[in-house]
Amino acid sequence: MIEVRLAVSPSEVAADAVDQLRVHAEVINRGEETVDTQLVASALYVDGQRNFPWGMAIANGARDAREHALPPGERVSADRVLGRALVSEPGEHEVVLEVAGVRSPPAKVTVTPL
Amino acid sequence: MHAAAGSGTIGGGVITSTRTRRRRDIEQELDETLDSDRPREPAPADQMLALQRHAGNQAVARMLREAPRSRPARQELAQRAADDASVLDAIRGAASLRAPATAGLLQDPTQDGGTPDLHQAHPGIVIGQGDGTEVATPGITAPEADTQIAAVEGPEDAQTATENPVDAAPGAVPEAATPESEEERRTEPDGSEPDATTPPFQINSRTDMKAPDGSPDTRKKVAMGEVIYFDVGGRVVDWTASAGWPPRRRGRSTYAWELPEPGTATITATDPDTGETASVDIEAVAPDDLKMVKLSEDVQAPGTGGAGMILSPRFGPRNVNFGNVEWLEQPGGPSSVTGYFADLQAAGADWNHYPNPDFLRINRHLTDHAAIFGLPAPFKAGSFHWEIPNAFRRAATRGSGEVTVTSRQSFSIQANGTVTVSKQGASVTRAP
Repeated sequence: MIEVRLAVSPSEVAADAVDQLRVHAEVINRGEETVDTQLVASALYVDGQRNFPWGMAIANGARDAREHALPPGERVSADRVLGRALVSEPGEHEVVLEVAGVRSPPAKVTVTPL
Repeated sequence: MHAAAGSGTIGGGVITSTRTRRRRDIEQELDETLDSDRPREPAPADQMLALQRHAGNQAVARMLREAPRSRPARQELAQRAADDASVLDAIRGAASLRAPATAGLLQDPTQDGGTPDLHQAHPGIVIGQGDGTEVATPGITAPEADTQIAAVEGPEDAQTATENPVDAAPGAVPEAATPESEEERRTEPDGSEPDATTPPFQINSRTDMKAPDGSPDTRKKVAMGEVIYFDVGGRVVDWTASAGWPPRRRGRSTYAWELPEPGTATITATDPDTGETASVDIEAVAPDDLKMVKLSEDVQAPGTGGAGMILSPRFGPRNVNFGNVEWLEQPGGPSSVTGYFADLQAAGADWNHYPNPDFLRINRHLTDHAAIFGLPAPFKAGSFHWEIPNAFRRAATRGSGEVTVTSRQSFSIQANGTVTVSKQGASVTRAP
């Protein structure tokens, strides 16, 4: 059993500053056995729609080796700066991360109009 | 390397071999002396004088064992005793006078009992605790480098300057090195007795970490941020560095130093009492090469296009240790997008590279992942690649680092949907 957490920062950003939007994903092993978190194959949903840049982003890059074998009670995290590939339209958006079939609580991000 | 007044040179020898050689010399000489065909030497009068000096050296050894003298002082006295070649003559003479008993008593000097501080390598020759073979190679791991420097260096104040930092951090003591063989040191070029009060003034160095290719710890080329320990055979001297940190230290027998960024620096040791100086040049380098070793291939559900692999990065050059360096891949767009991928891009697909935005410390547990998943049918041939700037900085520092390596990650797909992902020498291919 894993727990998935998600944060988007900043949670409120001006429309001309969305390039700095950063997604922080965290997976915690709540079970009693070591697990492959499958974070590399995770899916990010923005307002219910799958975000494909996240797929390429999280599937590539340097990372904590424990991501593939996470001992019980430990956690791994991964960050990606998606910027306007995450959201660009003004308004409030809901972001959810799904890892190995487990969904995170939604994270909110608000893009304020210029 | 530089040498100024005082003829500074770089030390290179190891005491182990010298001491072993000395022991063998003694044993051989005893054997030869016990051989009745060989003449006994030196003359009895000389033997008596040498034995008297031997007895004096033993007394010195006892005093050193009992007195809380500073380590350099003990070492110097021990060295003087060890350099007293007349003791060997005394042994020869003694052996010739009472051969049967001596032969039975001869022991391995390195196994001789004694106090933790001083050992009698053989009668009259004492080895101080600074004897390099008794000190393990510093096994400090990279994350402790900063702490290690602080532990060895400590605060720069008057009180601390009078203390011996080696006593506080004995594990950090580099293995003492001898610059030349015992035979070479025993006599001057003209054959005369050496002046035991003026041992060669030279800088010895030892890196904190091992080079992956097995280059010696005495190497003068290191990675940025790689800690080096310098010493002048235990002598308390003043240290300066033309660059790096710390820039200077006064009254230290050991100097732990590093150059946090690529470049060169000259380390200089000065004896405040004699004015002798010695210096050594150190070159610190950033990674200039990156190779990937495939650890495993990803398993994906059949029917979709894609391939992936877990990688282990190998940073070069391999004759230095980058354990105190952090690595960051910088983001960027795709290059040479063709066929299948160009079609998807036109439809809105984003092939930009969004890497981990945080610097990660280089170590053997660091991994990379290269993959592309979920490519939909219908397939057709196509490709694109990323040119990835790789930035490096000294661990635990801020800043954007310096880009010294550009790597390439390539993606290609065939008309049948077979996908290949390649990165810096590693590759994975998978059919849908």
